Amino acid sequence: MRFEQIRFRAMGSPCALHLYAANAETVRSLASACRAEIARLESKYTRYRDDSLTSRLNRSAGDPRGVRVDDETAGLLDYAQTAHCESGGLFDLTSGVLRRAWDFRSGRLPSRAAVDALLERVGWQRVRWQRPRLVLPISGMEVDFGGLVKEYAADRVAELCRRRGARHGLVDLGGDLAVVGPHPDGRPWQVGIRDPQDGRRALAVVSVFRGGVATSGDYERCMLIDGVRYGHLLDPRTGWPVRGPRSVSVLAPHCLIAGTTSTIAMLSGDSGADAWLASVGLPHARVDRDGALRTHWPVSPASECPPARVAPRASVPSIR
Amino acid sequence: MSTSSKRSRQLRARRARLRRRARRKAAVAKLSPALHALTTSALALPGIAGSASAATPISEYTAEYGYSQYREDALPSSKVAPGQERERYEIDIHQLRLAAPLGQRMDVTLDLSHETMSGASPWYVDFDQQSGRVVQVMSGATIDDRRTDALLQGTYYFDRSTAALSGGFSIEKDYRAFNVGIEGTREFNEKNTTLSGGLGASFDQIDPTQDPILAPDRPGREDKQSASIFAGVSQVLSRSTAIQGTATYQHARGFLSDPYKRAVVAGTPLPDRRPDQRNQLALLARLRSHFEALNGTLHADYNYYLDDWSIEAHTFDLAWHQSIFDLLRVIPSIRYYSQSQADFYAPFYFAPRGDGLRASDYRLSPFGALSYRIRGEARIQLFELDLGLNAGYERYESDADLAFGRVTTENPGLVSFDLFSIGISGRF
Repeated sequence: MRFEQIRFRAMGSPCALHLYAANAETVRSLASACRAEIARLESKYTRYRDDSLTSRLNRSAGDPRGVRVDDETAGLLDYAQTAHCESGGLFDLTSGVLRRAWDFRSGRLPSRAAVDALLERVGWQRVRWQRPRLVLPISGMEVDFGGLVKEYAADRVAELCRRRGARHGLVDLGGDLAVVGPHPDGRPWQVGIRDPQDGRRALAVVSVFRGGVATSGDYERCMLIDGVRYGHLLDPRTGWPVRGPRSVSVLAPHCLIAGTTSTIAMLSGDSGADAWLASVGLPHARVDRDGALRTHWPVSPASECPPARVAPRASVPSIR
Repeated sequence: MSTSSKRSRQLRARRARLRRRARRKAAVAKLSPALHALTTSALALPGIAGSASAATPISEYTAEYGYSQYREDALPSSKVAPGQERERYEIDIHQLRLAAPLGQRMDVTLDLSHETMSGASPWYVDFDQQSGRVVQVMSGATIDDRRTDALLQGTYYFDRSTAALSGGFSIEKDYRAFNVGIEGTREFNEKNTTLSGGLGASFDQIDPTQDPILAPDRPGREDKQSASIFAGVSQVLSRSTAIQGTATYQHARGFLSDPYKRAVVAGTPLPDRRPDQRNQLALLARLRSHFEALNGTLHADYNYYLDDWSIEAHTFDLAWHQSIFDLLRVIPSIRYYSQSQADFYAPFYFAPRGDGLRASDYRLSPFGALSYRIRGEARIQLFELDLGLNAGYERYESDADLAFGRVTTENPGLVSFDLFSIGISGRF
């Protein structure tokens, strides 16, 4: 069996497909299908293109008729709503406008008034979401799928590989990982938990048989003012950065769930992160601001994520 | 009250509601409520999760109501005895299904149906000397009857198996039946293979309405019993294709004749008389194949039937389930059926048979049938309620010319009918 690694850039990040397949031709066709799927999701949900669905939704802000969305987007909105509820309002698809006040390159704090003015347009509870119609009632409101789409894409691509017969592989979209299946000999994938100080160094290596791993951290974008580190994760309720762990990595049955869980952990702050992670009960690793690593990640094969069990989806013919 | 505390209360309430729903949905898995909620939402997304999944109890309360109108075609005048009633049966059927989860590992389903029947039905077949044709003589009086059926089934879900117990009854003015059943399934091979099996028994009692003038020799109260056993295997071949094979054997004994039918022997209509035992075997093969590019699923079924009355039958059923935007499903289908006759059957008899059996019932005659069906299903989300609407139409035509082999004399009573149905279902 042939092992190939295909590296490329997508969704603003370095990505890689680690795939086992019968021959080079299979790997090539699999990889091109994967990249097409990633490109589809990127062009659909990016906020950097005027013709994306996200831009169309955001242009509709203030229009009481809203926009009728497709099933996939409806699924993501339902998911975001669940995450908003579960996190007590921390996970919020509308918090993106706060970035306008926060320019992390400037090294200056925004004025409280500027933040408060933007807060008027933030809050999932202000949105009217009644499948299949999304209404952003306040002009200037925005939704941003950035906190979901990379993870969702990783899951979709891993599932796409499985549907095309691949059994062994790993999808890595900028550090959001989804396992196609373990190595052909049954060994798990070894995943490094990055050192927030030095992105190239792994603080720890964990074993992943299946599911997805996602990491949230404030080492990507931040500013230091008077020795205080202001991270890029903004609390949608206050509009100010949250002082929390430096990074949190989570293993979940799906990368999407891992990403949401780690994001909420970061937004829960120093005090709330552990309680949230404990309440979710997924394997995780937390790096604190002093660089200390704490893992709740059983290392034996028994640590395999519990397989999610739900009723079969309608698309699948089931015979009873 | 301040806005923020009001908002947090609203959030808490919404969260509690979503969690309740998620808990119901992921009843079997031992996950934290937050993870339940996220997992349930994530798995609803398209293309994220694989599909092979263990059988799980239903997670929501379901109520379904259906109404069907069954209308048999009037017989053409060439097929009935002169001056005879040509109108046939009409049945109105009301069906109600209620299903509910019962704890984390059980669900119960109750099926109720009520039918009202009226019209004339074939009585016996005769040879009309004048026209030289074989004609149907209909039951003179209009039959009015009602039937009520009830079936209760409870299913228990183990990790890889299910066990179900059911009991039901059926009541008509002149008929009472009571049935029980037990069945189980077991999954193997990462849930890709499912074995199933079951046993059933039915105890029936018929107490024919007496007619001292037209049919003074009609039988009195009679009994029949039947027992059945089935075994099946279904196999998921790929993410889009599954097959199933099932074998069912049934043994019936007791009064198996039709007390309201007669057969003409040497010019005299005598009460229908059939063997007092019947052994039936049915072999069913099914294929389900999903075509992702078309967003549709092909259902192809073949059924082989054989009994010791010498009836051999084949059924081919093809259906296409087309999804349209996940809101609407349209299902056109076609079914072909062909059967050979029972060995003791004849349209009429010139002389009595040595074994004393006689029956001219069209259901024991050689014939073939074609039916065309179209069904539409829509799903609507109305606040917390998941609403389903469906409507269907079936046209069924039977004819001796449609049978596999050559049929010398067609039974004039062969039926053709229209079936309209509408239904509504709610999950909450």
